[in-house]
Amino acid sequence: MDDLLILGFRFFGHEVPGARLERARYIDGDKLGPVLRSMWRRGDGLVAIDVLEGDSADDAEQALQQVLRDVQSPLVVRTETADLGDTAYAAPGGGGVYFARANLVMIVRDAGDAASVLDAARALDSWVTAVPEPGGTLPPQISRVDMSDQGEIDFDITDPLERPVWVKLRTDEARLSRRRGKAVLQPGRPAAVTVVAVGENGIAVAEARPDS
Amino acid sequence: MSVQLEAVAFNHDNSAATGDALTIRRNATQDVTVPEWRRGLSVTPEDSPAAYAKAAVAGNTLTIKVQLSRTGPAPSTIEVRALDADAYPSPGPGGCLGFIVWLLRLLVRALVGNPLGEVAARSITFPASGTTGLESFTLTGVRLDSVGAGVRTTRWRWQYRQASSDAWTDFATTSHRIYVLLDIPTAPWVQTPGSSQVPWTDVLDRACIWASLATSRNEAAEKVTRAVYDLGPSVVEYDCPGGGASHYSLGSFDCTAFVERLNGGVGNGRYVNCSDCATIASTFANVLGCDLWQSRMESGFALNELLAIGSGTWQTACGWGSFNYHEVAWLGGCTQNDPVWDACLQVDGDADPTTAPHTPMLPVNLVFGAIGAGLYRDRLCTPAGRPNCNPAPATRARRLVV
Repeated sequence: MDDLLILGFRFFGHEVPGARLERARYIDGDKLGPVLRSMWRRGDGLVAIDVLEGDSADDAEQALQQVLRDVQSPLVVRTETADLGDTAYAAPGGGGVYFARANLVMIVRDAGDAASVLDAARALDSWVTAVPEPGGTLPPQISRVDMSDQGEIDFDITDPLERPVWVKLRTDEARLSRRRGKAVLQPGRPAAVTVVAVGENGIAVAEARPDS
Repeated sequence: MSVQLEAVAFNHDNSAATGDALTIRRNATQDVTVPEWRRGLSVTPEDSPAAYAKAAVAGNTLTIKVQLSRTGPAPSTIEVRALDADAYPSPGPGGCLGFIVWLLRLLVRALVGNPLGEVAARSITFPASGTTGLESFTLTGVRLDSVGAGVRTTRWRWQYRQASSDAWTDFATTSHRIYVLLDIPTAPWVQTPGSSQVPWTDVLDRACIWASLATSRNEAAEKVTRAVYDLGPSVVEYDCPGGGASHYSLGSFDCTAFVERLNGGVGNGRYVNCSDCATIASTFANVLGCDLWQSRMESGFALNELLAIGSGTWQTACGWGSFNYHEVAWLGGCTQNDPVWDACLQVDGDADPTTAPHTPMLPVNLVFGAIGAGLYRDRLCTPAGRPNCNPAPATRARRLVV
């Protein structure tokens, strides 16, 4: 399976089908690092989604275990469904779903009358892992992608209206992680990488190859 | 001549709180600007907040700093003072109505009235510019030592006179929201100017009401714990759907969201778990001068039937039978010899907590206790669960407020 690295994940409001984004903000999660905390209105219910972004999949797995230490019920157990996360745990009835995907930890919870949030978790996971087609009304622009001999990936991505953009990197030739703020490949040598820039009104895709 | 009150500073020495007010802010993003009262900007008492720690100021002379200006020809020196506007009310209606109004004033004054007394008269010399610097004034008749924790209003009638033989002339009335705390707030709260961990008025507004009239730390902690538990089920309830996850205390305390929830907003939703309740209770108690930790007992222990926050049904926490862990507000070293305050659940307070009928008891200032001691541990856990339910003082924390 492809390796994935997410940089600067954020919500634009369309990630959870049938739900409206009420609020999203970063809070200081102390030892957990920054937490992207969002509240979604779905019908009469509320869904809370927290996202933690680590430097690697191993980081995310550790952070997920840390999050699960704050869950009191012994009935929140690992779920083996193939369509949810690299590692996923769920409460009976689906009122709380906790999963790691790539370097992200996603905490999706019923925050009031939302009942099961499994579908919301799956939709979010699909959104993170998807390889989307480029396009949109006002997509970001990827003007440069460079790769060093040591496998460091550098790029210039801008939004036409200078709005935030998040990035997903994908490769099937190496492991991806972040070191000192930059994406790097393990082992430390060049490999073919797909760079996806996700903006509020569109998506841009670029391919980086070792010989480029 | 016209004299104007330009500014009043309560927290004029932010290196100490023994003779003036504490350093406070409004919330995570908004400061309280000193001078707290400024002409043209401060209208309501809330516009001019100040907090005092009873234990820290006990026996000391309190001072404020005041800036004045004058217009028109005037002598360069005048005498200035401020009276308690509620102790010297303007003449009201006479007769029966007047008596009732007077009685109501007395009652209000006792419960929420001015704890700062009056501003003693002193002479002020105006410089050539007509505006003084911040001049120190002494407070007299301060009642902080005789009132409990709470939020009160001080209203002052400012007066001046030119010569000691002259009658006093009113020139301003100011009102101030005064928070009376038992002691200097403890961690996570700090007194470092500019820090986001400086006590928030958004928190003081609730904590001072919850612990109103408390005169000791234990009493304040108990009142806060009861108030937090009583938020269920209208404001919050135990997170059965999500498996008892932290909604407000993951990593740090999302106090901003919790205050929003208290004020009728969405916050982070209606569900809480034990870590949330422990964090809320200890943080709101500590802002009053209590000294509680958030600390855990671990791990994997069977439960007696209990009443979780927001629930009216005696059951073993959503019917799960056991907890992976539990977290409470805890004093001292957070060992089995130390007392806990649990805002998340009520235990059975009768002679046999393992079976019905149940007598609801909110654990406040209840020692965790050894197995068989009939204290908190025995009331929370089944006999089989008690050996697995042990204090984990290494987990004790005071989550940052964000």
